[in-house]
Amino acid sequence: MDHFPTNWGRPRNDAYDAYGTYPIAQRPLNSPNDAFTVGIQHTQQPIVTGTSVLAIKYKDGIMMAADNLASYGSLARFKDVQRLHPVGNHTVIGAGGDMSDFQHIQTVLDELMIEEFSAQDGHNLGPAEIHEYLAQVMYARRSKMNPLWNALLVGGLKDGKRFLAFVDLLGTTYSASTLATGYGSHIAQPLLRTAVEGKEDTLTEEDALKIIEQSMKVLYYRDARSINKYQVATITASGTSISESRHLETAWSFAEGIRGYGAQTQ
Amino acid sequence: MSDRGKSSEKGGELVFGETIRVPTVRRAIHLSITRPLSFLILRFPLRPIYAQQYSFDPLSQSLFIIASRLSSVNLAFARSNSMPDMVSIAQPQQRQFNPYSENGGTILAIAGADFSVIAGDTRQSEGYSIQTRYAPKVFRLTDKAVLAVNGFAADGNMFVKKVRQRLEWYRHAHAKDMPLRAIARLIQTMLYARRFFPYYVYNILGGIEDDGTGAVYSFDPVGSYEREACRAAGAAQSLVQPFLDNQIYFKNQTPAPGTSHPVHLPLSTVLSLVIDSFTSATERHIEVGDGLEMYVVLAKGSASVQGLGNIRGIQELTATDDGERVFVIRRELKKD
Amino acid sequence: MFLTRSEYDRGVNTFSPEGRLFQVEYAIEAIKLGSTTVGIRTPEGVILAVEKRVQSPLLESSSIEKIMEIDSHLGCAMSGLTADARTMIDHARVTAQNHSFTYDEKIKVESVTQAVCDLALRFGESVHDEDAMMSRPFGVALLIAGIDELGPQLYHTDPSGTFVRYDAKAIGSGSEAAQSELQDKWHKQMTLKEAQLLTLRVLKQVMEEKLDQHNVQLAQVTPNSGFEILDETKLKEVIEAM
Repeated sequence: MDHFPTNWGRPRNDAYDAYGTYPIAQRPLNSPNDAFTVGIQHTQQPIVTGTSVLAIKYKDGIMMAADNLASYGSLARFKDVQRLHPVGNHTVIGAGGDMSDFQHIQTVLDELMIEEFSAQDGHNLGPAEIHEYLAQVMYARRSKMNPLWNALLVGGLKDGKRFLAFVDLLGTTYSASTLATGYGSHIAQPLLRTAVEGKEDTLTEEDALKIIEQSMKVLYYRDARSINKYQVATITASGTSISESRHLETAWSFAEGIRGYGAQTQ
Repeated sequence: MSDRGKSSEKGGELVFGETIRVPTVRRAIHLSITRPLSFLILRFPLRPIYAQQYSFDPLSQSLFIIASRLSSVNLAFARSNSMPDMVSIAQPQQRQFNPYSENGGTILAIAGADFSVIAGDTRQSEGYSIQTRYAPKVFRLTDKAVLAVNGFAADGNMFVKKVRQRLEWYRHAHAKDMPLRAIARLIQTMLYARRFFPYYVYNILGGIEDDGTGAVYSFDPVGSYEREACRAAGAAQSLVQPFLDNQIYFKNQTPAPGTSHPVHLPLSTVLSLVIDSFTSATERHIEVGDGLEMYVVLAKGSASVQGLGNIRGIQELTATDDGERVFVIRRELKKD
Repeated sequence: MFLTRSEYDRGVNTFSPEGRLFQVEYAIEAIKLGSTTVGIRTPEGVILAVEKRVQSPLLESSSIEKIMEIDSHLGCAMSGLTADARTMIDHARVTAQNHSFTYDEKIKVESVTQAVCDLALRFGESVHDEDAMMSRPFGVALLIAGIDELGPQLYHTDPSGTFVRYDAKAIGSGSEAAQSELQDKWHKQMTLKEAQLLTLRVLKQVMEEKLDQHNVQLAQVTPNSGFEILDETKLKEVIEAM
């Protein structure tokens, strides 16, 4: 007899390895084993990728930015891709990493929001709930050795509380008043920290925008997978808004005289 | 495995990168070669064959194909008697997704006669990057148990979540809070249940036993555990543990003639040791710093409570009256 | 199909219009055919005593087993269809072992009782292609005795899966007379010795044969020795003291 009450009344599944005695990657396959199963592969590397996402806390809420480029290796493949996505009225997520995985995440979240809306039970998912949900999805996928290859920022404001947190393909999460993914975590994060830490409650939207713009510019100068076209999202008490694409003004004339940058004649 | 050792696929020395064919019907082949292989890397002409899909027994020089879809492929193999990463591969090798990361930080716990102190820094990092300056690694489970978790942060958070879930189920099933030694055993079974895909975390559990004594339990990622008087784990374990051995267990110290070392230290001394441990670790280890959280668990009616009153910024987290009491003390650490 | 009133006692999972499950009630009736079983809780421990009906002089009385160990701190006496109790005790034992494996502590008496009772209403339960595990309710009642951090305790379970804690309880054919006797004689500060004598006196009153060490069985759970079934010499001493 089965002495574990949690199994009672459930269909038997002899194929399921209850004690996890196999390494995860070679667990017995329970799904149908047809001609296509041989072709099923898990993501081992990102293909079409987005680079950094930046986000900061400021007086009225959260500001987030990401450029419009989706690269195919070193090729600037798609130059009008939106990497910021609103989820409900209080949250925006921004993604770096594999863009097809990000599109899947958008679909999943949109379905989730519709489902939650349909329930009409007075529950309304805010940024904290969406981040927790995403973290569970990301961690579950990494545990199946089939990750969603992204680094995501979740920013929002609900019931007067600002929220800004990170989650990546491993399910790693953290929260801080400034966040940056990918290359931005090396290049922009120190700039953001200097500009924002300790001033979260005084920075105006104008200040915040300046900081973001400056950081995006530095990234465009230094990150070979970036482009000078980006969008900025703000999440405040009045809801979410994602700007039209903006262009960065950059000056490269300094490079003229530098050997290795400008056109060299010898 | 019926064909094991039945025939040799190849006589003489195999050349590096040479391709051999595994017949469709064979699931195991015996490699008969003059210089034995210590290990084997198998590849499709283009894709690697993952280690989980075959096993190679260097003793019998036998190769077992586990995944059925590999039954008929050309296997290029590489051989070396030294380290695996010494093998150069002619074709591009694909890396496999690594489900783990290491997020730095250090945790520490010390047991007193009727109290327990559990502490951890709040920095979370990956490589040389600080991800955040405040990510708690120490968690109050009940009024008498506090758990510190260090290693891969995603696993750590998930593990704490699952432990808390089990504690609640237990409370509903047995109408009481789980005793500390029961939590310790539960953590072992939970960790060991994932023996083949471990939570990459080092746990230290501190609190008060049913008999009122302060206790510390330390665990390895797959569930080995023991009760101790003190333990440090994580990035700066190698810096902190020897210090504790000296200051708590009085290792390499000789008592003055006619005196002996105390068995248990008072709470104030323990707190000073903890703070010193973390400031020192912060100085010498790049992954330690930013903030310090020290949890203090006091046995029911412990006299140590008197010393806690004048500690700056102490906060009580006790949920119920008339039992053990939990406090948290927060301190800044250097942020560089 | 129209069901006449009497047809409601056919299905094990069909309520009658009055809201009764006849099969469960019949199962409770079955216990009243069983041999008398008595349990007494005292501050020093718990006593269990059963009558063994020795129907033939050729029957080896020591082979009648109506008191069983669940764990070192838990015992169990039964009345009714004792074969049914094997499933329940097997489950109780596994549950107790599993608890001590996972939690490094002895399971509480109430928890093990709850685990046994969780089995009781699993008759008629099945999921599509699976066979139902049980076709009818258990025909046995248990007295579960044990000691945990809450002290000595005695629980009674019946085929409906209900469990209640008692200071003293009698089940089986002579239970009515035995229970009123227990109500008269039980008191709060009873010693273990007094409880031993009381259980035997109560059994003696309701038994048809003359009580001796072959047709009764006595067990106790104490803080120091845990669960133990008294051997014939010890049992004889108690009988003689009576």
